[in-house]
Formats: sequence, C-alpha cells, structure tokens
Amino acid sequence: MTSVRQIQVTFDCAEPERVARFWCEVLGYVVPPPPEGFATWDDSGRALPPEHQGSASACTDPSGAGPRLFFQRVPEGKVVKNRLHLDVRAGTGLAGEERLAALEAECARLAALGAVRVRLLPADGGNESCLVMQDIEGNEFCLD
Amino acid sequence: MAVSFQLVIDCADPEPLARFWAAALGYELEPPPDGFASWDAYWRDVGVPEDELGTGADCIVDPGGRGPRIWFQVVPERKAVKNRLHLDIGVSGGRAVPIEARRQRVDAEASRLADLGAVLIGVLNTEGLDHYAVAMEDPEGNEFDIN
Repeated sequence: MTSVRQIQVTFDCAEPERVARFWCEVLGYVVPPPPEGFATWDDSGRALPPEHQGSASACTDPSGAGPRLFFQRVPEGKVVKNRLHLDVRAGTGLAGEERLAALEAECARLAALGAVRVRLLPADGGNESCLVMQDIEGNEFCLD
Repeated sequence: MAVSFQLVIDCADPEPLARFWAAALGYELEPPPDGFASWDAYWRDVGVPEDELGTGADCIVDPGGRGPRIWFQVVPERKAVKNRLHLDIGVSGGRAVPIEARRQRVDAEASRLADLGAVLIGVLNTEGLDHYAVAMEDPEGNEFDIN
C-alpha cells in the first residue's frame, strides 16, 4: 500500500505574484515567509539573476491541510480551456436558493478582485448548482 | 480557515485514469454512497438517464481525509496543448535531504509510476541549482512532475 503522497498544484502564468495573491484571496491561503536572511520576497528576488526575478510565487494553507499552489512564469499565453481546474467549495452543505445566494455572493467578491463570471450551471438531477469563473489570467475554476 | 477545493481533470476515459492516480498518490476510488452497490446504481436512483451512466468510478479520495478529492470529468475534446495547470508529487523530503538521496527517491518513484503507465518526459536538473525533479505524463498525456 502506497503512503499518501504530498501534492502541489502548479499554475503556468504570466505574472506569478499577482496570480498567487488572487488565489490567496480565493482560498484564504497566505504567501509563505521569504527565505531566511531576507525581509521580503522582493529582497530575495533581487539576489537572483535578472531573468529569474519575479519568475515564481507560491501560496499555502496556513493550517497546513490543503496543498500548496505554485505559480511559475512561462513565455506562452493560455490558448485553450484548461484540462485541470479547481472546484472551490463555496456552497458546501447548501441547496436551492440558499446555495445560489452563497455562490453569487462569493462570485461578486471575486469579481471585485478581477475574476470573471462565466456562467451558472443550474442544479440538475444528479448535481447541485455550480458557478463557472475565470481567474485574473483566464484560468477556469468553479464555485460549488 | 482556508476554503477547501477539489481538483477536476478533464479526460476521455475516467476509470483507468482514476485507478492510475489512486495508485500514484496512495488515494482510493471513492466508494458509492451507503446502500448502493455501484455509482451507476446511485445515479440511476437519483434520476440520471441510462444513456449518461456507465462511466464507472470517476473520483478518488485521500483515505486519510486530508488531500483534495480528485474528479475525472469526461469531456468530448482531446488534449491539444501542454496543460497550464499540473500536479507535482513530492517524494524527495525537501532540501533538508541531501541531493543524491533526493535523486534516488525521485527516480524510484518515476520508475514505479512508469510501471503503472506513466511516461518519462525528462529530467529537470539545472546545473548549480539545488533541485532535482523529473517530468512525466499520465496515461492520457497530462504532464506532472515528481520532486
């Protein structure tokens, strides 16, 4: 029996620090403290060669439970719908109108931070309602 | 308190991919709800039409309840470009572990996953950086790293 592996989710992006800050807001995550010997991430970044400055960022669950998210700068832009996305649990345990209200409220909060509302998928026979959004670089995610 | 999330991976054929990732991560196929022998029995009971049944097991969970649930969602389109999000599997123990020991752990894990159907793409080992990782693809071509 394999022990449970530690996982991280890596996002390719244009502006890693900006996207990391956005996801901190979505999930209640935090940017981890800078490496020892540096007061800020900017300070530690300046110690890197110019081509590596600002090339990566990360955010972590302060409780240690959820996986770390890592953001790395890549030269190419996003071209198609992502094949991997996050379903953010904004309406867990809720149903009907109460659930819709919770999803819409969270959608409004994230839209104010630069996310885009894509569409609402209403509840059907087997699934509860779900609200599709895109983050500030167009990565799809759902509120469900 | 952080908000929890599940990961969703688009795919053509969920159950084989769910079985691969369960074995890779030490996860298990999510059992059907109490009182149902299979997921199809459950979905039929809640009114899902017959022509939408038959996907088999498509979710995996951490038996310890800690890591995120992963759902393999059937989509009509095939993978066309490198995924913009990918998973990293951590087996090396981090930088406190000497690089040679990390390399051995990462290579052993890559070999185990290759036996399960993953394909080795390359070694990520920049000269002068204290970092060793390998890049692989799962059975449907989704990129992931082991570090």
